Amino acid sequence: MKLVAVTACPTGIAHTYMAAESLEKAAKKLGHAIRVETQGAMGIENALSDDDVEGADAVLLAAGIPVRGRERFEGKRVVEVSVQEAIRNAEKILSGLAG
Amino acid sequence: MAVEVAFEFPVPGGLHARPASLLRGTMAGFASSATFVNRRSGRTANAKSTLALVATLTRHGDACALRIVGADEEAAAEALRRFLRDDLPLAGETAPAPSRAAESLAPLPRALAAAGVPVLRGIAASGGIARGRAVAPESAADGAGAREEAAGEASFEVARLDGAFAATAAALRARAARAVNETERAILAAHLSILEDPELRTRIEDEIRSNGVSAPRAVRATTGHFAGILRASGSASLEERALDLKDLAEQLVRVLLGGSADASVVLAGDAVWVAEDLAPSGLLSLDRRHLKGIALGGGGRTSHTVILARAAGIPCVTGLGGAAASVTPGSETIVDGERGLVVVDPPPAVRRFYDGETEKLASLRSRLEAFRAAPGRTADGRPVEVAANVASLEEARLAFRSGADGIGLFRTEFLFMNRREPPSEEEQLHVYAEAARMAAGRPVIVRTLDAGGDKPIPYLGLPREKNPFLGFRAVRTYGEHREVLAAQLRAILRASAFGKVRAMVPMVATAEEIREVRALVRSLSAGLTAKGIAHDAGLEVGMMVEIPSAAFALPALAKEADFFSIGSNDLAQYFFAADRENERVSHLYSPLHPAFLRLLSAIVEGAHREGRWIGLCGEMGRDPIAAPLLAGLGLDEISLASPGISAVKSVLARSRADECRALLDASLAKESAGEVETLLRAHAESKSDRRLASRETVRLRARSGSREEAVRELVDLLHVAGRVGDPDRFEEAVWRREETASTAVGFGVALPHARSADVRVNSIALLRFDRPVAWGPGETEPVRMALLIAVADGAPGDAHLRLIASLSRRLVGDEFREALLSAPDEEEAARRIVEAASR
Repeated sequence: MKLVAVTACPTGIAHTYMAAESLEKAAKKLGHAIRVETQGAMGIENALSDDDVEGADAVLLAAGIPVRGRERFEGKRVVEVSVQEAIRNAEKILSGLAG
Repeated sequence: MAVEVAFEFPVPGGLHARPASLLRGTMAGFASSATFVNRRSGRTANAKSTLALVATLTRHGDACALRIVGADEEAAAEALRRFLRDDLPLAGETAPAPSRAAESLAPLPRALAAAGVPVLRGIAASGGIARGRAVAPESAADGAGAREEAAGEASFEVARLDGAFAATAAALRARAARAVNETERAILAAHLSILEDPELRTRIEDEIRSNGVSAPRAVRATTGHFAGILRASGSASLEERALDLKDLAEQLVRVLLGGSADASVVLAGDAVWVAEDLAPSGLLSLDRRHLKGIALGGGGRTSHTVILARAAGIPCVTGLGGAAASVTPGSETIVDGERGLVVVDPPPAVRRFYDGETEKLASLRSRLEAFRAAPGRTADGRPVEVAANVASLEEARLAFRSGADGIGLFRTEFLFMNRREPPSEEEQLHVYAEAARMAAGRPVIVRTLDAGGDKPIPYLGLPREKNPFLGFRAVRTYGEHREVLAAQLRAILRASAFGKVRAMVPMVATAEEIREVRALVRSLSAGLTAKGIAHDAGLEVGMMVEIPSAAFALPALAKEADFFSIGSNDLAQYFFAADRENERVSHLYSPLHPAFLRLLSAIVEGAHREGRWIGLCGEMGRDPIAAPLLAGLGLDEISLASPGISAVKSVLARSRADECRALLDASLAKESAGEVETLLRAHAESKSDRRLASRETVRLRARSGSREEAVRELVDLLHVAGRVGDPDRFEEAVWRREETASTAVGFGVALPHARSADVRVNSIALLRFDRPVAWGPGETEPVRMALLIAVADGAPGDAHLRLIASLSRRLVGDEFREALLSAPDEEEAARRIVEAASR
């Protein structure tokens, strides 16, 4: 399965990156392809391209705040979770998406 | 004929006691009378009466004038003009430490806010945390005021008054003699000067004669009159002077009614004084072994009671209003002089919080202490004495408290200014010997009188000159005022019996000048020896190098001088031929210019070649970024104003001697001051400790048992390490984040964080819990370790944010978490954090 995700949190210092790491680890373990865009204190990094979004089977938003550029995902299957969830239960979330 | 000098009142705090007594002091040297006129308030005053001056309610910016009449009115006007221009603008009180309390209503620390007991809020007037039983005065009126007295004959009442004034003055003097610090002495002296104020005495007598009242009533009426004016002034510092007057009035009345001016109060155990107010004399009469804290309904930040409390290190909160009266005597009371809070009957959580606070204050203090105790040296241990420039005993005391390795320059001009004749040998001896005693073995370099130039001393009769800086001043006047110099040198010689005292001669241009002073010292020393008066016969006599000619005569000078000290301010002025206070040429005055550095380098080498040690006293020594450069020059000593001492010491401690030398060589090869400054900044930047974590930011055995306590403990770690400014405000920022969503991230880890202007260095603090802690409501998994991430608001660049992002990512992996959980000590844990962040 091909996935894209965006992580963000109120201060954008730590949790954004932990969630990204967690999702990337879980995806690798479960054999999914994933690209994670982080929207943190350093701005948007690893930004998703139109092709990334186009080719994704699902979009995962792990954010405690409104995600920037949300309109990019119109018409896609979008799943939202809290940042904490993404950090703690990344595997479970990804399994749920696949199922 | 009269002379009138008009001016705008320049002191921000208005004409309070200190500027008033300085103004009075300036006039005291002249026979002419002077009237102070405030055109705004319309009030006038005898400029020789401090009290009358204060009562003019003069505020900053008021249009004022001084009208001078008398034989020496021209000279007096000239002295006043100089005083108004040079001294008065600097006469404001040094601002008290900024307080977090009251007016801004800073957030309460969580532990207090959550405790559910009333917390009384006031003004943080004197720092520290105190705990004790509340003690209240037995009766405010003292009984004395209530007794109504029939007035006797006016002459009888005036005679009583004489007796009371004399007894009260004697009591003040006796107390001053017993005073435990300079502040107490100064405040008692201020009370004495109010007591001796001609205006006060005259008004009390007028009151007796014209209204036929008794002496006690006249005292109360008169002081009440002045206090009323002061209270109505709308100026907090003037209002507080009313307390001094009331205090004096009560002492006078006690004596008039047959009591003693002194009243001692015995305290049974650790006590906190809780009352509407406390007079300065009241504080001095309380048993200070047991007086732990003071909580007052009235009062501000600058009353003499507060200043005394600060000097004695007694925590004090003022401005509690009516709440102070509601405290039941005997209740356990905590005075938080850091935040301006008072808690009565504290529950266990509050006590635990203050246990932590007390411990933190102690570790902050011991951190400073360890630093202060360490003498100035480079990272590889080359000693560079970091000494202080002072002009009074008060400043000397501050200097040693700030960690000075000695007094590198004791300016004595101020002992000679604002008076009619030079201070006596005994008077000077007292000052120099006291400085030597405070120094406790560290050197005290007393500079002989540097009169003339910008430091006029009327009674020396120095001529007015077109160009005073190139004129008859300092050592050049000694031939004409041999007796003044001899008295000063004798005082210095005699003070040398009390410690390591040295003499230093200013403005030496040629070897003859220092040779003459030397010869005089020898003959004075012989005279003292003949009389059997104790002194150091080998007193070191050195000289300032502040005239370029001296720089090129070191071999001859070294035959007469035991040491040298570069006066960089004057030396640079003479070297560049530019007055640093003249805006149009001050850009030419630049001590960091390579040309000037080459001169300094030649002087230091020359002095060392002659086997003499050499220091530097001047503004240049105050600039922390220049300190490695000065060490590179090979200076043995740097002397500067006290507040900069710790900064200079800590900068020196981070650079090795060879790096300093290389920095100097690189600077000497440059062509402009700007280029040198760039080099110095780059060096300073490379030396600052900007690592994310250190041993000090980690505690592997947390004391906290709850999330609230843990957040505070983490914040305190960063605070003690000097990485966070205001711990309460930073804690509040952490809580604001904590409240949006829990920062527990699973795996038994919590990651509280905040971005705040109170963060000085981006940092990570780590706490490990022996017993896991529940991280807030709804969190099922207890936390075994918490990392607090502190990011400076507006921190330049993303470098640190990137480190923290990469650290956060690593926390998701088991390996790093296990490494932290199993780290054997703080050092190792900090190393792991720094390492994880850099990958």
